[in-house]
Amino acid sequence: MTDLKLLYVDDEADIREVATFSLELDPGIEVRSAGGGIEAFAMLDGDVWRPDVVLLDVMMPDMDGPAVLARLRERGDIDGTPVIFITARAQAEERARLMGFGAADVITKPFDPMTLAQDVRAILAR
Amino acid sequence: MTMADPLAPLRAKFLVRVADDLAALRSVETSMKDRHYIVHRLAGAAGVFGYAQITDLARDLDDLLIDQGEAPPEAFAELIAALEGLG
Repeated sequence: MTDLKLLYVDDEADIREVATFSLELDPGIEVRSAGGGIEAFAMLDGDVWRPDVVLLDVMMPDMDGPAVLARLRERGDIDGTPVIFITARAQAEERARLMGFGAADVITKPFDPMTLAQDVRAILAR
Repeated sequence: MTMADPLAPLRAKFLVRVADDLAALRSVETSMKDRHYIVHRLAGAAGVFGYAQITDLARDLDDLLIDQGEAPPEAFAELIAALEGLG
């Protein structure tokens, strides 16, 4: 039985696959993924399913992560859902910039596939 | 007795894609925008599969391309050489 619904948005198929695998090592997490912001919003528009947390890549070709977050915040049905950015850019300034958009936290790629689920739960438990 | 690597099938798929990336990075016909996309993807993905050196090189190159809009050919050559070492 799952207790955490997670939406993972990333344009990189390799990463989506390994992240889904990693997150599902925790049997309590249900993962759905989208290849970008447009696909994610189409998914939300076409389904009653709503995530408890969103993991969001930053650099994506259709909409970047901050743009997706801004649009999520405009929706009444998901505006309070925690969003965790996931990015290959590790500098402190980039992290501060992303936190400024209202993210719950920032996870740096490459993440550890064996602990990603624990990392997400630890962020949400704060 | 050794434990099976649960990431092995995903790593194998990643390496197939790396071969395509390598061909694209070697080609003079690949645009800088496409090169940057490949570099950025490698920066995020390679380390997940245990290729930390590739991630380090790709991340430095990614930072240069984002901050300066360009990077010296030697930086690309170094990444290409590291990718060739995976084969």
